[in-house]
Amino acid sequence: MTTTVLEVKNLLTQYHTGDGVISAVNEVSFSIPKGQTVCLVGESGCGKSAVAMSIMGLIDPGAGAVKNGEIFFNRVDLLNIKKHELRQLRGNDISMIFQEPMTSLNPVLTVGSQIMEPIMEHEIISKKEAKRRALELIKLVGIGRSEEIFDSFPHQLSGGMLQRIMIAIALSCSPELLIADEPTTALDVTIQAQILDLLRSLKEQREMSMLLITHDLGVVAEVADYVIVMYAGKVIEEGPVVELFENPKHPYTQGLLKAKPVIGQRQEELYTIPGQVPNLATLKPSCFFSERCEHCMSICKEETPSIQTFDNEQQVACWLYKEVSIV
Amino acid sequence: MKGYILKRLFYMIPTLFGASILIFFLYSLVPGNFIDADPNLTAERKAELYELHGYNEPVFIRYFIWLGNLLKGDLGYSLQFQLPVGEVIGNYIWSSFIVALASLILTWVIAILIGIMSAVRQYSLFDTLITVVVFAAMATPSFFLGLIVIKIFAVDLGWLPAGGMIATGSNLTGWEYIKDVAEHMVLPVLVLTMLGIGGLTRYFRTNMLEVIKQDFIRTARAKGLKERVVIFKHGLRNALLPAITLFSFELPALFGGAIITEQIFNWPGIGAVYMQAFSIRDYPLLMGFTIFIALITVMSNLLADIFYGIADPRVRVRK
Amino acid sequence: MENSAIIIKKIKKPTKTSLWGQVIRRLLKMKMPLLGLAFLLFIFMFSFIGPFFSPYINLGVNPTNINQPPSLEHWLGTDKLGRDVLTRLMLAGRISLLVGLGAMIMSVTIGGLLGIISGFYRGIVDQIFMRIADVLMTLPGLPLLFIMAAILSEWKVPTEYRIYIVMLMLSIVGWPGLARLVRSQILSLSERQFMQATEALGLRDVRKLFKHLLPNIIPLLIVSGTLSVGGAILSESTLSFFGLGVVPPDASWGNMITSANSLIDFQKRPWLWIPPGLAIFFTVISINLLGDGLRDAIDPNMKRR
Repeated sequence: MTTTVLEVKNLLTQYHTGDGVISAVNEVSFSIPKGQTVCLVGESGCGKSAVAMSIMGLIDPGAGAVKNGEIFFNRVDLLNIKKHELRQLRGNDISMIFQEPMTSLNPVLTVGSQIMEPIMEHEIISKKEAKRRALELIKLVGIGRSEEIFDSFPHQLSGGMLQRIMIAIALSCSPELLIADEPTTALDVTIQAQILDLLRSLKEQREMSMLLITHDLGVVAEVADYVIVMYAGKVIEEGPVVELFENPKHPYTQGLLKAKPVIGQRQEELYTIPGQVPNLATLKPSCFFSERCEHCMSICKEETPSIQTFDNEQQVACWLYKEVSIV
Repeated sequence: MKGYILKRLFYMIPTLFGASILIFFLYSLVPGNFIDADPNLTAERKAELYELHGYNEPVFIRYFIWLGNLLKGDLGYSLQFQLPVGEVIGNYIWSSFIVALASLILTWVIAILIGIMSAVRQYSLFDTLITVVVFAAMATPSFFLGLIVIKIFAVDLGWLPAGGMIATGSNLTGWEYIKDVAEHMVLPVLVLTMLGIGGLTRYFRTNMLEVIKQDFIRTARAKGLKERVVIFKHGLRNALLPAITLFSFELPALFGGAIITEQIFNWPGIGAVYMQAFSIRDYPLLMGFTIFIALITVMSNLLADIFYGIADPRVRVRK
Repeated sequence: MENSAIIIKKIKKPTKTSLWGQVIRRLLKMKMPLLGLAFLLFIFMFSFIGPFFSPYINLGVNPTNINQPPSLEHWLGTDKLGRDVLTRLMLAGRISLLVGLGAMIMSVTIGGLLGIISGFYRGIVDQIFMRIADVLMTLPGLPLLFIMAAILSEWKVPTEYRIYIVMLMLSIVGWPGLARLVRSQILSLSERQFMQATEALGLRDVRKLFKHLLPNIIPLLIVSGTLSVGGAILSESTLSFFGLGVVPPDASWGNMITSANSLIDFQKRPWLWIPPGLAIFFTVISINLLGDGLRDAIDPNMKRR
């Protein structure tokens, strides 16, 4: 029996926008077992990043807040611990890397001092020792000339290098859980593969758990153990990566997989899912995907489907399968 | 970097040249002069003085004489003080400087602190209150503020002296003297600080709001740093960078004297001297002082760029 | 790899209302700018219509009734010539507001025009205008104003023309900053895609200027124009206080405060100089609040997330 590192239950995170209050994360539940990589997949604006920010407790209080639900990290309730206790977990036990390495580092501080920072903050350690650790970390993420890199400023390094530095910062205190929010989106394709390989091997070496957020199914197929598909703030399908890719159940997941071009199979036209993401501020109880769904039924427009588990651990929230089970 | 500074120094020449032309011809447009304004002079003495000060020459010849002297470092000869203009400036500039320096330091420290605090707590009660105060400070005419402050603190409450630099007729020395000057400084410094603080606070608030939206602030929080470290180490440094330019722009004010405030508080600084020179048409002093300020302004623009280049690593390396 | 990103790209809904409709709608949601606007309307009515309701408008000097403190007949008392201070405050408001508006219109016209020409044609024209602006900005504003004012007072300009001269002086000091702002805006607009498209389409200069550039800098001109009215009123009051702006018998808020120069008036008759000071204060604060609100309403990036 594997232990669970992170457990999210009925998470509801809301933001204020010009159009009104929107539920960016709407009753989302999932868990991450120790040493596993869970991928959160969906389009931009579906609430993936809001899940990550809710876990980190980094939602800007002026913009939104977690309204309901529970987040347990190693059985510690993150939503009900003191602010400074959560702060001590951040960067130490849970760390995070972001989409834009170019802007995620402070332009006026050296790379080295930014790597040393979390070490100095979370551990009782001399400056000299921290520097030694930082140099080691730079080597660990696959950059040579570590002394030289240590003293350089972010604008002197390339995007791929900076993302490696971000990974070094995230790993500096040997976290149990690493959250990676679209870590490769802003990078060139060749660099993307290198960064993914790096993340995967580091995760295995250090027995970390990882929550990887992406819109890229290619990335998912490469690194995920378990996949969660989100649409308009809700989980619509989840399951082990092989089952989900071989036998997608939700029409949206099917669409996503169909839209992904496969090498060797030339199609006349790439498949696209018709329509666009609904405005989150004006959602009524319904299946949020119903307007774009080719199998849409009358019930889909009236009631939100609940999530339902299948034998192979796959779970789906879709009325198509509810009817099947009733009949 | 050296080449860059030389290039910039070279670019200053046309600007200063233009400024000298503008200053000279503006003043030469003013009818009447020191000699005509003095009713005690005889006609012969006037003619002598005309000859002595070169007033008989055509305007543009006089300009080149003046410019030639300027290039030799000679700012002219003050008619009112019967001293070289450079010396007059030297005599009065330091009393202006201490007031300006005190208010500059106060203004910046207060503006940085409250600017950052109201940015961090955007839309809070504190922020709203600061915004109101800032707007008020920006809408008050300096002379009116001076009058109000004198009325309240010097006339009605009688806490502080209304004007001057030392108590009338006093001949204090040592610490007593310093204490006396300091007491006389309080109100002018208060007025200058209140006038300057509005714009600067807003500037820091806007800058800081811009900075705390940046991704690297989120990274700093994700590292689990204390909020104090996030704001003051990661935020403030970036918010201060563009302010270096602004700080350099304030340098001329350190030497230029505060014309209105010095006038209102009867402070014996260069600004008050400038106003006096106006009323008795001491043109050499007016022109010399104006070109001096123009020179300082141009120099501080250059300093602004150099300082910025030193402080911002992004600029530093590119050069 | 990018394909899944393509399908999910959100298509922006076309906006239904016009730009200005949106600006007005956003402005109506803001409290402080509306308060500013309301006060400005009040002060305009106070200055331009108010005097007609005053029984003292035609009486002028009254030697039997000098230096009276505020009373029921004279709400703000009378001055050393026996004139009603409240009525004078209204009449002074006319002049101060007119000078502020006039100076703004002139500096926006000069600054806007020179800025557009500099940014659009660049080259030697740009160099000339910007060097002139440099020189003007190198000289400290206040001494420059004093010099000009001194020249004018020596030339004995008739008092009724003084206020136009003051407007002109203020706009001479005011245009360089505005011209630079407009120029840099034009330069950055020219770099944008849509301007390069007009280049590719071979549009005539006039059309490029009026159809494509001007609409984009009008918001900038409105905001900085509004804010510059406040600055102009402050500068006018300073000049007039030192006797270099609007001079008696014409009243402006600035020269009304001059009475504070007399020690007895300053200490014993605050009704002479405090009301005009407050009038300046509240008018400028209102203008700044309105200008600030306009900027927030026009620039959607500034609006609350």
